[in-house]
Order: sequence, then C-alpha cells, then structure tokens
Amino acid sequence: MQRRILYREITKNKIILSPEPLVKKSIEEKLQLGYSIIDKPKGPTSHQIAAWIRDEFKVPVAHSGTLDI
Amino acid sequence: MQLHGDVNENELRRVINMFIGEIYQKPPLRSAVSKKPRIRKIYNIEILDIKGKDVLLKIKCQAGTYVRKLCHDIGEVLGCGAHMKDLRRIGIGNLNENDKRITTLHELFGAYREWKNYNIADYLNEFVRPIEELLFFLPKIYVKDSSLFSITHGSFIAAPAVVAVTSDVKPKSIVTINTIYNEIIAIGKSELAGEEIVKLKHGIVAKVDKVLKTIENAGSGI
Repeated sequence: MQRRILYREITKNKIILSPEPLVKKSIEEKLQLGYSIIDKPKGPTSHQIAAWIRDEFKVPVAHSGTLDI
Repeated sequence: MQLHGDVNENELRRVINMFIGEIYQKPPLRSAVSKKPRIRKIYNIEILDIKGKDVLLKIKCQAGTYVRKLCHDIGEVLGCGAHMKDLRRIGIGNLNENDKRITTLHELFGAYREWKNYNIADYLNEFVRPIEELLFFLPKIYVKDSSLFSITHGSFIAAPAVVAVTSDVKPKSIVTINTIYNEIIAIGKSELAGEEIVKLKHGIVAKVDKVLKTIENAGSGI
C-alpha cells in the first residue's frame, strides 16, 4: 500500500515525502552523517575498507555488509 | 558454491529447495554474535549456473544469514560437502548493484582529494549521499522546529510536537524523526500507530533511541 502523510493539525508547512532533505546538505554535513556504496573487490574485508576510509577522511565510519565470516 | 564431489543435478535442486524457508543456523566460532542457534529466513535460492562442481546461486535471505554456513550445510545434506567459493552482495534494502552512485574505494579517495586539495566537490557530492536517502524506507514522524532542541537533548516526543506522520507508523515501529524540511535528526521507536498519533492531544507518542544531529539553538530550525 502506498504510504501517505497524515497531518496532526492544520499547518501551512506541506510535508513532501521524499528521500532527499529539502535543504541541500553540504559535503561537511554529509561526511559527518551520510553513506557511500562501495564496490568492494575480493580480498580486503568490509571492516578493512571502513578502516581505510576512516583514516583518510578522519570521520567515524562503520559498514553494513557484506557481512560474511 | 563449490561441491566436494559429483552430485546429480536433480538431487542438487531437491536439496537446495529444502533450504528455502526458515532454517536454523549456528553462528560460526569466529563471529560477533552469541553462538546459540538462530532462525533465519531464506526467501529464495535460484540456481543460475552449474559448471562441473561449481554452482552459481542467487540467494535472497534475511539480514544476518551466514551464506558461507548455508553453502556448508547444503554440502552436508548432499553428503559430499561443499564450501562457499565467492560471495557478492547484489542488493540490500532499496540499494542494488546497478545503482549509478556505486563507487570503488579508489574513486572515492580521488573524489575526496579533489575536494580537499582543489575544492571541487562535484564527484564527492555524487558518492557521499545524505542519510535521508538510506533511511527513506522507515516510517517517519515530522516534528516542529520548536521541539528540535529538547528532542535532540533526550526528551521523549510528545503529541503537540508532531506536525505529521507517515501512514506506515505502527506501535513499536522503528521510525525516523524528521524536521518539516525532511532532515532526519533522530531514530526512535513509536508508541502508537500513525492514525492514533494524529488524533492525540497530549501524551508521549515516541521515544528517541539515537540522536543523529544535535540541534543547539532552540526553535531556529535550519
């Protein structure tokens, strides 16, 4: 079922259901809180990739897979 | 998956089909979670190719499935043994392999240095994406600017703070807490269904689990 916006009260602020924030985020903001999709070759682990990016970008980095042990 | 012996193709198909549905998996010794067996759902296994002892499988499974273990277990049931030779994740959530924003580590580093050294952000902007995209699939609660300070400093979300919700908010759902400009400031757990929240005059509607962006000046919004 298509999801809709349900308003709690009458408001002049129309909410737009969108995957992007209305105000474009700066690079600095996205580096603090953002994501990248990395095409990882066979060899280094996801954990290592995250560590390398952390070292280069000097921001906290975690990964969400490919989880495999 | 590489088989350790010769297997009749019909037998292989029969055994693989046995693994579709709910299966028990015991996490491997070298794993981050507790070692007690757990149930994982295997939604589908498709045999894409068979070449000698190599079998190419396309598996759609629940998060946290050990695919290496799955291959091993298929081998056990077949009797000959098998192991996972290679693994590629071709999709997760609403992301997939054909996404044009996908990048390699080299490209990402190149883009980062181009921004850092020459202030050209075009490539980096393409590869580093806002969190809102990734969490778009989650139900959402939109809150007033005036509540951002207290919510990002540990307050529960009370009904008067809510401007709107998405219709997929259910009791106990994990939700994103958004500003009216569609910026995610926190992740929380809803107490009520969306239809109830919008009718509520006062009371707690959701609890915050993780603040993603702390808002320091109360009421100023973005």
